[in-house]
Amino acid sequence: MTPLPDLVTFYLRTLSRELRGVPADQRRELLDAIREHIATAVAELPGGAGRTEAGVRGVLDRLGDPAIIAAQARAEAGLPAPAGQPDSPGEPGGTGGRSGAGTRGGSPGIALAVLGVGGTLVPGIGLLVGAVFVARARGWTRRQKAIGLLWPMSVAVGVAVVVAVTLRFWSPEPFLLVGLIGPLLSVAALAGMLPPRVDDREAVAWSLALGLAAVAVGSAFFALARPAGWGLALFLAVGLVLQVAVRRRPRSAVSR
Amino acid sequence: MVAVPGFGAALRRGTLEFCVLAMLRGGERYGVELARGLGRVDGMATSEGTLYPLLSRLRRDELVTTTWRESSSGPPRRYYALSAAGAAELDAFTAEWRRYRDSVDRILEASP
Repeated sequence: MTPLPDLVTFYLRTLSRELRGVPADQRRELLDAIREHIATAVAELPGGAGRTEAGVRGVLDRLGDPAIIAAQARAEAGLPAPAGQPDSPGEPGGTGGRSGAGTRGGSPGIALAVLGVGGTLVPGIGLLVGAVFVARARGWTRRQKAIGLLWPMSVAVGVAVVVAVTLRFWSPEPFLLVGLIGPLLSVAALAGMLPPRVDDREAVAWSLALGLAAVAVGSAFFALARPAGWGLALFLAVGLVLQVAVRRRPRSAVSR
Repeated sequence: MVAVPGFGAALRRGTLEFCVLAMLRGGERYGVELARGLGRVDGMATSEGTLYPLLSRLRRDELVTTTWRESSSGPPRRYYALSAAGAAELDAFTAEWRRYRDSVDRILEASP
């Protein structure tokens, strides 16, 4: 059985993805309202039905297909319907939690795996392939993709230069560092920008702060403990754990 | 929920916001209540979620106001209430609707 909060999270993520292009304040208000609707409707189900999968699925089914809600939001905001989307909320469509919603583009999880593993194991080519996967994946805006791919590479090059100059070891390590830090930092940054962290600026700010913190900790260990592997492993762990922790943090309700 | 086909959907699109305003005439209500109320009316039922973009726009247009209220059963709820502008809009629509509905009825019934 799927844990109930996961059902709701999946629904909200799908909706958040479908709402791309809707102004950020309207998107946030709508996601808050739908989240509140689910919590209230589930709490009001009779006889503890809100604790069963069927009960929660019923609430989501009555809410309807996220694509149809997003189409309505676009219509209310005076925006055109994107290609391949239902252009009328009145059109018959699937019911809630349609897993195929927003299937244009590849899986973000696979893209991150390719970028992380390919980028570190096969420096250069692996990174390029990973970048192509990310570019074709859904779940990020074009701007987020560019930011998630470009700034980590700049940071990685910067760190490598600093390490090379200050520690004066003209060995392959700084270049290895670029090859490792770049892809891993990209993975951390991109993971931090996946829905439901929908506000671009907020997502980018978090990714920057956490990515830089991870780099600082990682490079400190790298400098202190010469066995570089330990430092990099720690860097990877800290970065990813922080990103996942932040993404799981429940968003506080916005009142007006 | 069954989607309303063809002209039903068009009629619903044009009138739903006034139905929502009318449901608030008796006092403030929260989203789930409004969704449930619409779901019970023939021809108005559809995906409950589509109500919220509409409520959001009505709030931006200042036809409804919202307040947060604690609830005894479950999380705090956002209550929607009719504003003075909303009430005026609703009255104007009601008058226009009756006039138009009577005209359509007259034509439909006059045909042999």
